Amino acid sequence: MSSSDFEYWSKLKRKEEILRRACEILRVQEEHLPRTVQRFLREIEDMKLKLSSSR
Amino acid sequence: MVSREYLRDYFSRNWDRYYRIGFLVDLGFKRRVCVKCGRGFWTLDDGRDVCPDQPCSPYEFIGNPPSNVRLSYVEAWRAIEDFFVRNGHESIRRYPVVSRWYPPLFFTAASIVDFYRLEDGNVVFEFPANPLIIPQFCLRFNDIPNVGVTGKHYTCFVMVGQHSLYDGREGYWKERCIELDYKMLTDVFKIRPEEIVFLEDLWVGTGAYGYSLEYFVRGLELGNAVFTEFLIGKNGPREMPYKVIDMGAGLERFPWLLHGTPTSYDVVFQPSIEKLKSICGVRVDEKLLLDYYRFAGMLNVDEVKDIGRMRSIIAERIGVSYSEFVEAVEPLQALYAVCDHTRALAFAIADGMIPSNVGGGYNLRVVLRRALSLIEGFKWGFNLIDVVEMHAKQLKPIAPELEEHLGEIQEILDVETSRFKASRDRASRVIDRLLRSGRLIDAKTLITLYESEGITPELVRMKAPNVEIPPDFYSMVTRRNEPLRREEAKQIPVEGIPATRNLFYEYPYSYEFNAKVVKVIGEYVVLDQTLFYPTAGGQMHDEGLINGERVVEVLRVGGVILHRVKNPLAFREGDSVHGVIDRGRREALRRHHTATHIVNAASRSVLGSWVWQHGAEKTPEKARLDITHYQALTDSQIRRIEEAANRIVLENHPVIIQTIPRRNAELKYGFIIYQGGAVPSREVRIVEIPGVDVEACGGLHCRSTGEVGFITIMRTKRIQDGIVRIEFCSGEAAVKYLEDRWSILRRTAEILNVPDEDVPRRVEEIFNEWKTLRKRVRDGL
Repeated sequence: MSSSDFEYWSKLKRKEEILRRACEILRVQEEHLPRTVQRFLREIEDMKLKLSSSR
Repeated sequence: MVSREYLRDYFSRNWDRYYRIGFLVDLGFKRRVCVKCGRGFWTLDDGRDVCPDQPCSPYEFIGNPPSNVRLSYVEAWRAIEDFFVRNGHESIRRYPVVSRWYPPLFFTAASIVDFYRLEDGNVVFEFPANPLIIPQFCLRFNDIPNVGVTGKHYTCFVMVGQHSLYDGREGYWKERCIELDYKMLTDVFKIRPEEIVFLEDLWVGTGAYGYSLEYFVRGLELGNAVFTEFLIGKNGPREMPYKVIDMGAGLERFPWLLHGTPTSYDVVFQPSIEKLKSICGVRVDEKLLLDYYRFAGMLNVDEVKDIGRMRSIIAERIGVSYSEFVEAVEPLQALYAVCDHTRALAFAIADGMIPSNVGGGYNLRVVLRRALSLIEGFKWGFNLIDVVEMHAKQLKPIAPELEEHLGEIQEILDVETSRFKASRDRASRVIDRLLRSGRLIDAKTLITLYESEGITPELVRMKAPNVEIPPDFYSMVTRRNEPLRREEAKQIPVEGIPATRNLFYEYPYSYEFNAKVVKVIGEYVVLDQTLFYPTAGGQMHDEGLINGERVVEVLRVGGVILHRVKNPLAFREGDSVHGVIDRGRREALRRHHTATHIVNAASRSVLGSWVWQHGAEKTPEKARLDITHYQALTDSQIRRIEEAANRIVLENHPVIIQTIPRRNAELKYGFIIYQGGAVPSREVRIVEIPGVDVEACGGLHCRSTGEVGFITIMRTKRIQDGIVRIEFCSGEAAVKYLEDRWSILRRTAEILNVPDEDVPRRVEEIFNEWKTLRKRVRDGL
């Protein structure tokens, strides 16, 4: 196991940990995170529009 | 298999051949036939015309011991051990109470089970010394209702095993066995020869049987010397090439006889019972107890059927009212049962089995809940672990490991006690509902309540005092959970085909080979030798090409390896062929197999010694390991297991593989080698990572742990009560898995237009904003 292998591994594990934390917030499986985030962004825009038009 | 009755009659008719012991005859022992039951027995007493067993003879030692020798439970073992060692026996340390080397049983039910091994479906005996003596702690769960009641029944007891394998040259046979047992009684325990009676009987075990002589003193059976000559094989009974002395004596009986106490529990659990009686304020009417247990020895709940009726008969005979009688004996009987059950639990947990709803764990939960119900019922202020600590202290000279495992035993008992309390609260609601509905609470309902809700009949009775509990309730529920027979392997006719040479063991790092086609059976091709590893021990098969044709599956039936090919028409018997293994797949499987051993060891070091492999599967993409553990893993435990596993990888330990005699492997490494189950052959292939893990395993492995590459745990799940599944991958598969995770993270970061590190923070902001907006929209603001 070379030191560059170890560094790369450590980097991958850090990325995995970041992903896991993000998924925990929304309680979604990792595979579903991008799609879920997109849906939230879209719904935020929709709700903002709805609220501004109702004023 | 011929019936027990037939065998009894056969041996009895031929008593001169089977039961006549020259040593006894020379001493003046004569054979008589019991006028009550018709069984043969041997005695010096010319006036004796009944056999010494119950119900023909009563207990005559209670309050009236036959000797001036007074030894405690532990001292009695020391005296027996010393006698047999002086007479050429090796004293062997106890085997685990969980009989992982012999799968037809969950637990070691007799000392002889220690030496049962399976070979081609038949039982063989493997002795670590010859002759030997052993204090074997045994567990049996078929007598639970009798425990505490009869004075002699246990779920956990010590069987003193006197064993010898006689082949005409080594060991000894029945003359010497009976001579030693007789001298043990007369010389060590100072029993007068006239007091000793030998009763003719037979014993049929799970693997072998023989005729036997049980020895009694004053109505108490102390031991049973079985002369095992016949095996119960897959093709019916057959005479063994050697003979086996299987003398099993309940250690509990010896101090009981010597002290003449009302029950054996009084002397076996003496230190614990004294303390518990004082803590719980249980007062004892000694005279009543002596009278009661003189009768109780004659009774067996299974035979009497109704424990209430039995008690009222005894109460009448000793001249007290039923209620007085119950008040006097019930609390004490409950204490005895708690002492027994905690001892069974302590040994089972120390030996790596935990209470659960499956397998042997089911029996443990039954006794655990019974013990807790009794403590609750009498509102006593002690915990199970308090009693375990007393046992550990008392038994330290025989079983020092109990004290070493106290922390783990406490952890498991605490978890199970919390679960019991939760189910008790639920029980209250469920029973109220049942009572309101007016439904009859019968035996079937009680079993359903126990199995689906964990509600014990004792809990039901606290709410509904008139409910009838079948006296053998706990036997009924444990019987429903006997070991299951394993399913037969896929049936493909291979009779007459010679075993395939396993080139994958001889050349584990070769990927091409030449061979000859031996047979084509449907879509399967059999070669004289192969590098293709078949699916076995949870490791998926190799894939590749034979003469350019794709191999899609590889199986083993007996010693024959079958290659399922896409185009079987391309092969004919006698063809010379060239095989090529898919190297990438093989390497991934190899890494995942060694990684499984590493993760198993890491789990045990992080979680506790009760962790055993329950099942495993290794594919090229990932591996899964099912372990015994009492609850789902926390994030912290998962990280710690992963760290421990990767530490083992980084330390680059060698992986040493050797095939050695099973007996040597057990002596050197212990029964931990049976993580993947028992090995039904005389030789075992041992895969050892020194200082880390050692298992009997037929799989293909890396040469060192460093070759496995880093291990990442993908997910874990509690798949059933007491079993947790860990899915993981290693090496290239792990890198690919993590790169896929990174790719998901990158896509999310791009959508959010932030660096990777900021994704969680940004996701939280968005989520909060979304919740706020949704509330405003709902509120119409």
